[in-house]
Amino acid sequence: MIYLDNAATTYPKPPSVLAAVVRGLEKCGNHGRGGHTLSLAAAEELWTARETAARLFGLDNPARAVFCENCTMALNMALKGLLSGGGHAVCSDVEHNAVMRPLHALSVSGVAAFSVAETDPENEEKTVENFRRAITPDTTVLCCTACSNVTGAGLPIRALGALARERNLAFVVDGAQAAGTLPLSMKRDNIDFLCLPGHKGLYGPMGTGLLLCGDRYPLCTWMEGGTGSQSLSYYPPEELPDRLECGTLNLPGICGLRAGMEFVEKRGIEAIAAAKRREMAPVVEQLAENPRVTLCSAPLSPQNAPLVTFTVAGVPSERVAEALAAAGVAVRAGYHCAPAAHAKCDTLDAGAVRVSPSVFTDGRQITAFLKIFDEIDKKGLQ
Amino acid sequence: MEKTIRYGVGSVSRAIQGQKVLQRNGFRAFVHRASGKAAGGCGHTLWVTVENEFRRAQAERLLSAAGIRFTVQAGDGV
Repeated sequence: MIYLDNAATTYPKPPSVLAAVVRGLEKCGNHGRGGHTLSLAAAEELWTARETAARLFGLDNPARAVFCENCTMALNMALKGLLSGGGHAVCSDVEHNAVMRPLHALSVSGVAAFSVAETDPENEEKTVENFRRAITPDTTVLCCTACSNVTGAGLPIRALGALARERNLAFVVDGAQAAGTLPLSMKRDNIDFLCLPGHKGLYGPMGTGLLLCGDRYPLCTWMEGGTGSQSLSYYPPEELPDRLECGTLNLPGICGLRAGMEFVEKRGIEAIAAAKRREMAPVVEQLAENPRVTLCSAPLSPQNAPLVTFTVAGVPSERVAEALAAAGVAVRAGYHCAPAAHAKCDTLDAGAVRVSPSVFTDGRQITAFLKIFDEIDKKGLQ
Repeated sequence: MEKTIRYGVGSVSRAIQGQKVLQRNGFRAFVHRASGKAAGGCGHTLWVTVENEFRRAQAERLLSAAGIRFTVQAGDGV
């Protein structure tokens, strides 16, 4: 199989990730629940994973790295933890449903309101100005993705972080597509909550994620339960990470995520992104020459995630993906859980096809993919 | 004369964090599980061996600088 659906989940995983998952199962118990060797080994593993995440994303205190199941959970924890007492949020017009649905749920239940700021991929200042204009006296949160999962277009995170700091707003960033591909630093970019998936650009297993918390805003808990600490109290602990990490964690998965983050750290985020841009360049070149194809993705530049999204005139995106799958190529079609971004691209009718590489994608795979696409296109996609 | 101070900390994560901070600065530090009403239920303690009061103060400064809240559970005169 030629796997080009890495923006959904990277595949394959580095061998070190597989080995780490096995190590987690073999060598670790339940952290914090006992004083025995297996339990302490788990606590050590978790702490090292927290330190790795803190290094990779410019977080001052590793104790503020909270593990969870995925980026969606991290975003729910941040948004509902900040807005459960009311307030107003501003998000962008390219958000994934992981942001839109929690904000919508808060809005329809009358708890908190939100507004959408228009982004301009070609004019960062205009994007920031639109966010500024959407801020009201009730606004407490700015939330946006670091880059669109549909087009790859990067948002001006540093400038938006500066705006949030200037207006004393909590800045929540969805790093789902950017983590491991675009440089993100909580410190440099003034990010208060950075939400990350483990299974995409960090090369970890599915079912792992991180909520990295700055120290300016406490979060209300979204779930309460056992933490192995302060167990005579019915209140959750005040301190992170225990406050937001109740119940047993996915320790084997987190061991794998740590190995994935170390893999990314060793290769370097900029080197990884440059390699992916190189692999995607011929895809852009060939598809741009095809009169039936319309490219929707942002240019291959260091500001954007290196992926290619396109439509084929008169053909539903799922039909294109189905034909490619039958020929052994895995891509993602449809709406990518981001209707707002598709509305912006004018692709709400038939969705779009997304081609996304990983560090393991090579030139031979890309050449083969382009040949296969050319053949099925010439045969006549209906 | 060496003595071992037992510090109560909020969680096993904070205990491991404290252990690493102290070990990097030449202290002998170990994490132990503790329970009982004094620990607020189940919890973890950090056992730190110090040579004198100066080193003890240094250890406590390091823990505080790392943002670790602690209580001295035992050790004075141990």
